[in-house]
Amino acid sequence: MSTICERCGTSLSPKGHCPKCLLETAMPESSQSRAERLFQASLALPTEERIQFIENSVGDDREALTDALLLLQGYEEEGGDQGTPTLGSAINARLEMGATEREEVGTIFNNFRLVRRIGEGGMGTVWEAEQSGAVSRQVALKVIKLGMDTREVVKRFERERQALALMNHPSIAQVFEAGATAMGRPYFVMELVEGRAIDVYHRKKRLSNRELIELFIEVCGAIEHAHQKGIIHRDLKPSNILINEEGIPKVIDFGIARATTESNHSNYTLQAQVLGTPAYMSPEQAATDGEDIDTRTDVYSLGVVLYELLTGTPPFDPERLAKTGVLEMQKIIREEQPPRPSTQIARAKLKSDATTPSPKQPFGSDLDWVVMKAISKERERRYASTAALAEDLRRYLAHEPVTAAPPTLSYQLGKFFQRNKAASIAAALILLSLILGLTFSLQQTHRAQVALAGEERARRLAVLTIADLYTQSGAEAAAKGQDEVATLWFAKAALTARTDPARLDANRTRVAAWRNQFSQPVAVFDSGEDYVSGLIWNATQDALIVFIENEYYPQVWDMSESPKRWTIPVPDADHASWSPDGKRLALANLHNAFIVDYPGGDVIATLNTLSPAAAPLAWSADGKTLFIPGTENLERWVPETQERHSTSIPAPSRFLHLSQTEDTLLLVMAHTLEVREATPPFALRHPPQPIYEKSQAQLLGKGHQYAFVSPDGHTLVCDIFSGNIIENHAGAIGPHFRGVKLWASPSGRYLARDNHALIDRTRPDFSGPILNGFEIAFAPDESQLAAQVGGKQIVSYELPSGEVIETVGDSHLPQLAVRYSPDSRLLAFSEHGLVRIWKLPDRDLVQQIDTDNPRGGFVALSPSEDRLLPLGHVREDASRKTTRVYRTSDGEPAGPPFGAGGIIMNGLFLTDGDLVALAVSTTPDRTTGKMRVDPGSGFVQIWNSRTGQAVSEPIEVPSEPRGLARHPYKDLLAVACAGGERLEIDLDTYQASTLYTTPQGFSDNGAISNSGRCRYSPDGRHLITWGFWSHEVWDRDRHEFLLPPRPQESTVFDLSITDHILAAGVVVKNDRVEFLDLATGKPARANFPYNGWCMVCRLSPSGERLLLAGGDLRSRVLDWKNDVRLGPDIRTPQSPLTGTFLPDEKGIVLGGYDPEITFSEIRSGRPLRPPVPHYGGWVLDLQVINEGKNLLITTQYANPALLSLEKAFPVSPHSLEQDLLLAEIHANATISENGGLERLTRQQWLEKWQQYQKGSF
Amino acid sequence: MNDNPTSSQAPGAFPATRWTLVREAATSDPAALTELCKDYWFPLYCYARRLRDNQADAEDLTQSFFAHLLSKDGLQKAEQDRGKLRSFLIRSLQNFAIDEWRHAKRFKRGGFAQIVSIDAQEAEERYLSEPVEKLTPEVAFDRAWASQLLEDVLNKLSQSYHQAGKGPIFEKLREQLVPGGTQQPYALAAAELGMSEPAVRIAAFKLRNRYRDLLKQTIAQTVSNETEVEEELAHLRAAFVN
Repeated sequence: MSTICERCGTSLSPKGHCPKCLLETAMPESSQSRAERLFQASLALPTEERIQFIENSVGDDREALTDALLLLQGYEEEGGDQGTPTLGSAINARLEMGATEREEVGTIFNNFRLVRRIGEGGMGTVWEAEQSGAVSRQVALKVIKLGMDTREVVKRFERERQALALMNHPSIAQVFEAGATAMGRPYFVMELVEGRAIDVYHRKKRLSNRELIELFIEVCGAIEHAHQKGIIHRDLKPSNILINEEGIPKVIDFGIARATTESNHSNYTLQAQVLGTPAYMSPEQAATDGEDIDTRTDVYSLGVVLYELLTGTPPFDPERLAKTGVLEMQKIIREEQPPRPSTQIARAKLKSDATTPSPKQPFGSDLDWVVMKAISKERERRYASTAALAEDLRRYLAHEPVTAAPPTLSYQLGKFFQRNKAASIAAALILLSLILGLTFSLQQTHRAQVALAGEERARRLAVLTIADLYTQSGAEAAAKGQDEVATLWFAKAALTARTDPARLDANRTRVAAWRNQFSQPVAVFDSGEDYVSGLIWNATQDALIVFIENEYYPQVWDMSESPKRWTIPVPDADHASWSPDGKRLALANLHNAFIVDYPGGDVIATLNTLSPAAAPLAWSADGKTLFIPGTENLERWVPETQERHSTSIPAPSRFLHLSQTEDTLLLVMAHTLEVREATPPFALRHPPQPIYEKSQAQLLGKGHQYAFVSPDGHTLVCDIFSGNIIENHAGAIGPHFRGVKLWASPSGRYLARDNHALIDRTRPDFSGPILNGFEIAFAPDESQLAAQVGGKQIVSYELPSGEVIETVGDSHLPQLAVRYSPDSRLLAFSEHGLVRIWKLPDRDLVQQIDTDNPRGGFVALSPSEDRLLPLGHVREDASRKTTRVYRTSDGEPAGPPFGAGGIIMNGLFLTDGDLVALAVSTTPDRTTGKMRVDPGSGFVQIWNSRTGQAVSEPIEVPSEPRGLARHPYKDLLAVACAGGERLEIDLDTYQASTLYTTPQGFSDNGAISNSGRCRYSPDGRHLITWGFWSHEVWDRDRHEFLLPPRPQESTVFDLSITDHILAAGVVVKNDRVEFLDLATGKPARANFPYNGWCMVCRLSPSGERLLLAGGDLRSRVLDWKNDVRLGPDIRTPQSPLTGTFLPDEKGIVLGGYDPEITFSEIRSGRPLRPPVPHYGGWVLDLQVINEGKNLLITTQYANPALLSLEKAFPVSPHSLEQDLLLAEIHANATISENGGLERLTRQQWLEKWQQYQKGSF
Repeated sequence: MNDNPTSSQAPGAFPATRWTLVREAATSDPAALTELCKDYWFPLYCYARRLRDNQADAEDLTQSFFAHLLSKDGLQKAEQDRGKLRSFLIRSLQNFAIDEWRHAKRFKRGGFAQIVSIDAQEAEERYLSEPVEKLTPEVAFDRAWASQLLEDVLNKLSQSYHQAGKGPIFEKLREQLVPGGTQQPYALAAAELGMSEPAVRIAAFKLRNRYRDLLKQTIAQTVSNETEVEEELAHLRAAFVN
């Protein structure tokens, strides 16, 4: 007897019935056939009306008519409604009705008259027909070939009919009904559609790719509509997508595939025949019996149609599919990977005569990925809906990034190696570049093909390409926040590209930088069992007490010198606790308490008769006394003298806490807590509190407050003396069944509960992360906390920000314990039976310069970069009237505050000594923060920053002073004023003289008034001024403009000068980058167009390279003289406002509207290290200072900060191999032969770990 | 059996179900709860079997689970429950299994006592991550539950037909319960039963109606209100969709 349901393939029950089908029968939608429903409905009518009713309702569904009539007959035979006339003869007459008809023009069957044969397909003949009767209309009638079970077809159609009727979309041709001819052939009646198949239409109309895709998006919309109504087409192909003369698509044949598909493997050939061609069939459709099909099968078919429209052929050659047998065809559809559309076009091109123009237009790789995603073999990889496919196409048309992306490296490489086992490296390279479309354009590949005669060169290139793929995978992992995995990819890339210095260096840098993002292992212990529970740190030494599943004795694991472990000679202990000095440990089992000496390990005292419900032990601060639950009452024990005092109070059944001040005991029972004095007679400080059943309570800080969970689930903080509620944090009881745990940080500032948000008691409005785990630990210094999440990972959160730092552990089994070492340096956690000890990362990358006025804004640097002068001036808070100088080395002030009344607009160190110039505004409404266009007023004044004394009187200037510049060798200070006046102040006499006046002044630049800058050329001959609406160059020797002002035409936000070349990013009109040779006054080269606001236009110190960044969101570096791009665009989500070269000129750093500063390699465009977050609003300026040691970061709101480039780019102390090994250990994974990421088994992990330890210790 | 085939639902309001009654009186009448739950020991065992590596452990778990159900704790939980019987049982068993696991550890190893709150989700995730015959324990449970339910319904159906002397009709037509199957044509069945084809058709029609009513009644025993019957039916069917 079969054990599988023949109908649906489900396993049959032992009694031989199919539960799925039986349940199906009871579902409302399928519970009754149409005939049954009609029959049942007819019973409500008088007997004589029943036949008429059924006939009227049934339409042309002859089968339903017959069935309903037979039921009615059966009902009559049984006796029917008692005493009413029987209908037997009438029914019989109806049942015997039926004429024979043949199909030809003019044939009439039921109420259709065939008018014209429209087409003939694999499935049958399509007729245009006239419907008469109640509805008179032209329809298309599709008569299915004989050979099908008509009843089945019609029945299946009926099943979907209601849903089909719900579809109402201009691009969906309606299917009205199905029926059977007198010959017993099924037919479908459909809306008559005039139009051409989409592929024919496309060829005839020669649509552009854009037009084609727009049309295709409409088709997607129709299919999406059907999907929303629950209808899957199942047979989408060009001939089912018709386009009329107006260009409106109509999708035909909905519901027909379903009705005509046999749900049985044995009929597969028939199915294939019915569907005409399997070229559009999704792998799951080809593989299954059609039961496990969802809307993504249509996504696949649409993808194939699009593929064909773009390339001219479907992904799989229909002729080839037709020739093969069913099994082979299934195999091709399920397993064979088609080339990308653009590759397909290229191949066709190579095959054909190269001189004939290709009928197919080229397109970007994005469209490739959209199509490839739609026709993924695994439907999980496809678009989830046709709407998503349409959306991505729309994005493609709008030049926005599409969601489809090249598959991950492991996936690609896996597939690649599967396919190309025997291929030569050269072939592999070409294929790689074709398939992956990474480094090479098709043209380059073509060139490469010719050039790569030498296998060696090909091999090298292939290896480097693979290394780049590893780097790419690393960058992808990093973007997802998987720092450990990223490190692994980078380490592999470094090792692979070891012959190429540029790649080697960049990837080694990445390895070290990313590794510094997370904790590093320092020791690991294998318990040899499956679970490790308790972990208790020694207060003074790196040692842990560990409880292990199935081990009779707990152990001490000691890392204080070299890792070692020993067994504590106390069997079956329940509780353990280190003495405060860390020199002894107390343990208790069901019968005794013990004191064990550390590191000796000997039992030095024993106390017997303890309570079976042993609660934890509490040491006094001096380590001399212990509170221990006795047989009935709480006891005090002095191990040294073996003195033992029973108290008068019952032993707590759950927890026991002794306050730091040792005057208070908190005793926790199952349903209440008690707060008692810690000295006889142990009086209650206030009446016992009810608590949530079996929940935990904590003494906070020194112990004057305690926290617990109230019976209604709230977290309460109470005073120990009065018991009064001080704080009530709302909470709820989650799905616990064994009480609620509550954790408090050492100072009592933070409270944590499973499934609740972290509470910061100092910040009531703090919305902390939701902690979800049954073990949480606070670092003793309260710099972070670690929580288990989902029982699988330990996530550490930074305090007080609450942001995630990292995730450690990734196991199928819960980590049972997590604890920070007392010095907050190490984190111990158990995972499986392993206990891992990790050193927390050095996260101290950025040093804030703690100015007393932390308002952000620009700063001035002293020439030797040892001091800085905050200038502030953010328009929203335009009130900085004083400033002072700070040392860059430690951020300490280097002089008293100074300033004279007005708003500081700019400042400048005049010498490396103490003199600074301040540009001060006295414009009356400056403080209101209004956007200014009028010239305003102000003065310039010279100060001694060390003494805080004014050196000069205020030097009046004609309008608000903005730009300041010091002449390179004369005692001159240039001032650019908002009204367009450019002056020079003689620093001996403090007399100002006007150089020239331009008609156009500066206006403010948005929120930050940095508009209006000036500087001298390196030789001092030229004064260059720039800002909002201003940019001009003045020749001081000739007293004339080298570059005259171009009012209202040029705004320059950034420019840069090296030697005698001036590069300026000009925006507003004809956005461009101009190059002026100051020596000749002529352009140094042709302008670069720049599409957007160029915010960064910076020449590298060597003058060779130019960094451009800004509103086009594509930062790039050029070899500007030779007009060569030095790497791909570096895309940012928002506009950079500033950027600069890293010291070696191989990388750049960018900052702007994004809340993070990014570091990228120029050559590859990929990140060089993780982005550095900042919290100061926009980044205004980035400067590499102190001979490349530091990066000075200036932001909108926060203090200036120094980022240590040495720490940001650490150098790995390990060899490449060691780096890889360490990365594997961190990621708990390895990169397999075929480039996939593989999880390490526990055994492998331990082997790697031992291997690493051997190499490093 | 001879009732009007149009009456597919008993008239009147949705009656208090056995499950609601039993649940509300769980502490006062523990036997009723066990009696009701006992019918479903097999699905519970299926679930337990996927949690435990061997038969003995799974049996132990199922047995001790029933003991737990009868305990004060279990009965109180039942009284507090507002959901379906199936959900209640699987939830309780999930909790119980984890509890038991913890419990065993706790008595063996002291340090464990500090780890108290573990929720059903965590347990579920843990077991979901281990592929056992492709089915998750929950789906296995649901499938077994549905089979058990159907078995009961078919038994009742068979009984009532046999009692009414219509045993042969039931046996001949039980295949017709499922539409579109490979059942023999009505004409053939009619010939074998010595009835006319229309009579056989009407008998099959009634059988299906009767079956549907019985199934819904049986499901109604395990849920709290009428709307949940359809829900439950859909849920159980979904368990068989891959």
